[in-house]
Formats: sequence, C-alpha cells, structure tokens
Amino acid sequence: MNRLGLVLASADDLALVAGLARAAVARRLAVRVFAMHAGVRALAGDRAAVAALGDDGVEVVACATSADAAGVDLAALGVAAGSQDDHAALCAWADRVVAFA
Amino acid sequence: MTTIAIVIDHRDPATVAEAWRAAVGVSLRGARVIVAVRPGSADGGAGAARARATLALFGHAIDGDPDQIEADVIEHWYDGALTPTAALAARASVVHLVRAGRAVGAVAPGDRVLQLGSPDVDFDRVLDAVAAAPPRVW
Repeated sequence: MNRLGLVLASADDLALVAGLARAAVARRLAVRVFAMHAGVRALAGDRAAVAALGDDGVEVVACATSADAAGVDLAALGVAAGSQDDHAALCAWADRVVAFA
Repeated sequence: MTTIAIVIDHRDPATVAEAWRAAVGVSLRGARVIVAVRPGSADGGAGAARARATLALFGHAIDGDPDQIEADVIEHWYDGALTPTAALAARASVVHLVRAGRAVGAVAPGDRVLQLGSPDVDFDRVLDAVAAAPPRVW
C-alpha cells in the first residue's frame, strides 16, 4: 500500500482521520482526504487538525456543495474546494480507501 | 475496473440523500458502483430518487445486498442503529473498523475486527490491517 485515501462524511471522526493520516505519513505513504456532508463541518470545527494535515503534506479537498450548504468558508479554512469528481478521483488513485461515513 | 460499494445503513434522510449523491459521485471516473440499502434506512427523498435513476440508467447496481458486498472500496454510511439480517456466505475478507458506540455486523470467516473507540487507537495496527484487506467502517 503506497497511497491511502480517507473519506470523511461524519461529524465525529476527524480525530480518527487525522490519526490514520499521520500514521500513514510516518510510513511515507501518500495520503489524500475528501470531506463531504457532516465531514465538512467537522473540518471547520477543528482548524488545528486541518492545519496539521496540511503541515504533514496531506491533500485535503472538501465538497463545495456541502460547504455551501453548511455555510463553511473553505478558503478561510485552507481547504481546497472540490466536487464529487474529487471523490471519484480519490477512489481511483488510492490503493486503499477508508471511509468514515 | 474498480468496484465501489455504497452501503446505506442510516435513519437520517439527509444523510441517506448524501450517500446516494456520493454513489453518483464515485461513478464519475469510470468505476462500477454498487449501492446496497439496509431495510429500515430512511428514504433519501427526491435527491436520492434522482441519483438512483441516474445510476440505473448507466447500468450500475442499485439493489445490492448489504451483507454480501464484494468491492474494492466499501463506503459504509452507518449510524449504528441497524443490524445485519442476512446469513453470510463466503466472500473476500475485509477488515471491520468499529467506531465508539457502534456494533460490528456481517463478519464472515477470515474477516478481522479492530476497535477504533479507545482514545489510544493503535493506528499502525489499523494501517497494517487496512493494507491486508479492504476496510469496512462501522
């Protein structure tokens, strides 16, 4: 396994995503995160975790439709605004996907 | 071709609608998509119906058995309330990652179960398990 994809669509699992991402980065795995639904609000609620993911070189993309619905400013959060196409791309890119939904 | 399963075990209509939107989403790069809805899940409304029709139009499976999913990626949209109903036959092994307050279900011979609920989760152990078999998060 060289590439780990993490999907965050739930409100309470950002810590698990961050922990898995950090452990994977320590193994020199490439890690990408796609957030949607309640996962976007979770990102907005923990800016420190988002910053730590960025510092670790983890690419974080969030669904702009979910962000608009939740009133989350992704640019202010430092998270790339994406779409379901990024979700599909993550699934195609990763050797393994762990989805917290 | 990659097969991606969206398993819906959820009582919240908005979340069910999002799961169906995700199912359409993950089809956008050419993957084969299977959607399996646990009886007792909420109705996702008009959005879910549109997504279901779109997936069916493009030949994806929209009536999968949530207990018998075979896929490269399994996204399990789960609120912890519904339990598996079917007896399991043999299928490829998966690793079950069980969140705090959630019950694991549909464990087949050869599967591995890891708890994610404790504050000191051993993420290295989880990664080893994930590398060995596709994960399903309960």
